[in-house]
Amino acid sequence: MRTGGYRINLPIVFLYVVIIGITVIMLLPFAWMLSASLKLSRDVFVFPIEWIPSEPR
Amino acid sequence: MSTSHAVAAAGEAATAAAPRRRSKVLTRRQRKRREALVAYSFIAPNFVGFAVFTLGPVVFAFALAFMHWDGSNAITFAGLDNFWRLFEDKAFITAFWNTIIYTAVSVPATLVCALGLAVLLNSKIAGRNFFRTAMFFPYVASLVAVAVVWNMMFNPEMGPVNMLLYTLGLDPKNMPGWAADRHWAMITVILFGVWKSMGYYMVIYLAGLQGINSELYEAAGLDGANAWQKFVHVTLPQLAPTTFFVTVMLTIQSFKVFDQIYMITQGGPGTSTLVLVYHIYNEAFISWDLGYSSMIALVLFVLVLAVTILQFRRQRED
Repeated sequence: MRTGGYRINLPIVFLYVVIIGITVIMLLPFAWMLSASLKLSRDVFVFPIEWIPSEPR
Repeated sequence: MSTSHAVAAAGEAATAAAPRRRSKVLTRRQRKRREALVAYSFIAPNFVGFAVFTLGPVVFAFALAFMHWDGSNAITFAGLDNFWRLFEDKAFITAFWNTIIYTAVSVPATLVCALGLAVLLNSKIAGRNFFRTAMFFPYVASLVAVAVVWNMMFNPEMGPVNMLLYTLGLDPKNMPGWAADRHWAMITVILFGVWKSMGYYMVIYLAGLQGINSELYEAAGLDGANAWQKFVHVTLPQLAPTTFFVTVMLTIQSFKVFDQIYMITQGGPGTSTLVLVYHIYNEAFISWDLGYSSMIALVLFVLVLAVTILQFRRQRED
């Protein structure tokens, strides 16, 4: 399949989606830790998660 | 290599520095003995440390398994008392089976995840090194720090994981209780273990994958094999030595599991995640029954030894 001069290879796209998905899962706890470290304790469990705290502490 | 050079150099130096009266040629045996002495002196610093801090305590623990000791009063001989006590100790039997369950689930799970990751990240994709580093990251992170974060994320009432499940439409009544629920606690601990250590075994598998001769894939391709057939009939057999190593390492590691259980569930709720090493810790440093805890340690040692010997036997048969 050709679109705009690029050849889109479905298996490769799928591979990237899977790998990026796994990477996100692997790194999510670290991102959450970083985000939580900048919040007051009462704001840590606020949902939905405020990934970048509006008032970093 | 370098050691033998060093030994030879030291031998020459000793010969050169020897006083005149010894100018006569040394007999073969004398020279051999001198060489051996030099070699032992090189080993000594390492061996003394090992003997004092590892071998000594291990031997002491084995002896202690047949004694009564509370850590402060005199040690008394117990014979097989501690051994018979094992069979009446319900907590020990629970811990034994929990250890088996933990190992039986976490070893295959980690193995499959590590192999899958290695195969995925062995393909030529952009940013491959970044992804590999990301997978390895949990392994190098401090276990205690990471376990605290897991505890908060998997908090059953307000943790982000259950919040996510809630927004996905899961009924709050059927929400997994993770570390606080006796049916989910073991799963939580196993999930953590797999997440933490699969990156390390992925690296070992990557090394194994890189050692496979690409001609084998070409030959399989000429024979008309598809990707899955190549994986089953080329990759897997070629990786057999790696898989053996990973299995042995993982098995030993899971029999010894302690720190993540201490951090996440403390053996609870009830005794649902009580494993052997945690029971050893309880008996030794909570109840101060060092003799009995040494006996449990001895059982664990025999268990790990037996399983490892079995694995080596099976490897040799293949």
